[in-house]
Amino acid sequence: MNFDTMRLFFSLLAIAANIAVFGAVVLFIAARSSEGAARQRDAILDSIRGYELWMGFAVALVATLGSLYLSEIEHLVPCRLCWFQRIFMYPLVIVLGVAAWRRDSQIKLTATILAGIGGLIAIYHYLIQHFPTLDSGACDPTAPCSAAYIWQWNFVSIPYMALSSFALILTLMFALRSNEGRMSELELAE
Amino acid sequence: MSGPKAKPKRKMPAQKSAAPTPAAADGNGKPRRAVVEAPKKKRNIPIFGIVIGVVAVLLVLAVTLTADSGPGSEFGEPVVTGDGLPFFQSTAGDIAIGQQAPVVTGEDFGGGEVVIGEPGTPTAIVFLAHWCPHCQREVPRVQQWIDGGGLEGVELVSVATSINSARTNYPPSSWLDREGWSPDVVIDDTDSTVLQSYGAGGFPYWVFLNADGTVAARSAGELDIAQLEVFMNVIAASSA
Repeated sequence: MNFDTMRLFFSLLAIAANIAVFGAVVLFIAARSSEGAARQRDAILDSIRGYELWMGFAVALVATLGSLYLSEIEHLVPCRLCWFQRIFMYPLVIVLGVAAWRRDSQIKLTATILAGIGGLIAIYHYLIQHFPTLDSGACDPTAPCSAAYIWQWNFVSIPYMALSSFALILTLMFALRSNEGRMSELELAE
Repeated sequence: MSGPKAKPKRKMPAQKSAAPTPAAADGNGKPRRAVVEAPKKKRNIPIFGIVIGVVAVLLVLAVTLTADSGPGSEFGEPVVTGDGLPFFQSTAGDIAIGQQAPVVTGEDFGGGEVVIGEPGTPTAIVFLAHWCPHCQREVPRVQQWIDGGGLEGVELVSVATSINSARTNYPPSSWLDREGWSPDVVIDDTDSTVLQSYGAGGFPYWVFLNADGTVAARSAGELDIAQLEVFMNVIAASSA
């Protein structure tokens, strides 16, 4: 497993996460007007019911291990904004892991806030990589935020991966909320 | 294809007044317990199988596609003689001004010898990192200025430093070649010794030397041509 392999693997994971999030958004919007889409949506929601928190935990864990791989094994020095994203991603492993273990779906609010703020920082970081002048006119020799370590296919960078992970966690928390909503609707119907 | 559980919800509005309760209870078992049981009993989308399958395929894909890429290296072995300059902090009030710059003997991408810092001609040195977006913007701008006859009575040399094959726009030789970069280039080593000996400012990092080899000014970050010319005029005057 060299750096090139891992870099490509992480990039592919990010794209897979993008597809999942995009698919979920499209399905949820389509389900408002289409019976068929609604059935698909419900089938997917059923298939993950009870596992939303575990899946969120898995996403946060992969993102955390990935970022530790890049800094500790590949020795890529995290820049200032990377650290802020780490601050919001790392706790999600514990928060979602413990909540999944204890079946505490109340945690979705905490997780949504963490992932939401982390996602906003990732968006800003990604913008700076595209438009370096938003930040400053110089590159810090050690770890400038504007210079991307990874630039796979000219658009996947490390903050892009972080954003993909945060977005997937947000989507899973939304799915958790939807599943709860559906459960209470079924109870009402009963 | 779709789950039976899906139906009660969507049909509820229509069935509400009819006989929803038996249908829902019958088709559904016990909704409350379904939280635990539903995935096992009624799952018709094997979501975990799909997730694991996709991840495995991506891993195999990543391994296969990168199988033949070997580690690249593009480093020089420059020799630095003389005392290094103090660490760069700011252009104004720079304590390095007036100090004798170290002399660097290195090689360019073609293996030719390049010497930097020897007294004789006023010299501007620009330290470039291939992965730095500001350097990527600076290089064509400066080259255009050179092509327009900007260099008069001054020399401009560059140092390709902080080279890292894991980062973007690697290798620096292809990048500078692509940009038609005409100044001499010294290739820094793995520890960026040349950069360190000149005080390691932010990229692009400029050091302007008077004709006698002393530091006239240092500057970190992109310079536009007007700013560059101010510095160039200062050092050009030093040879008179």
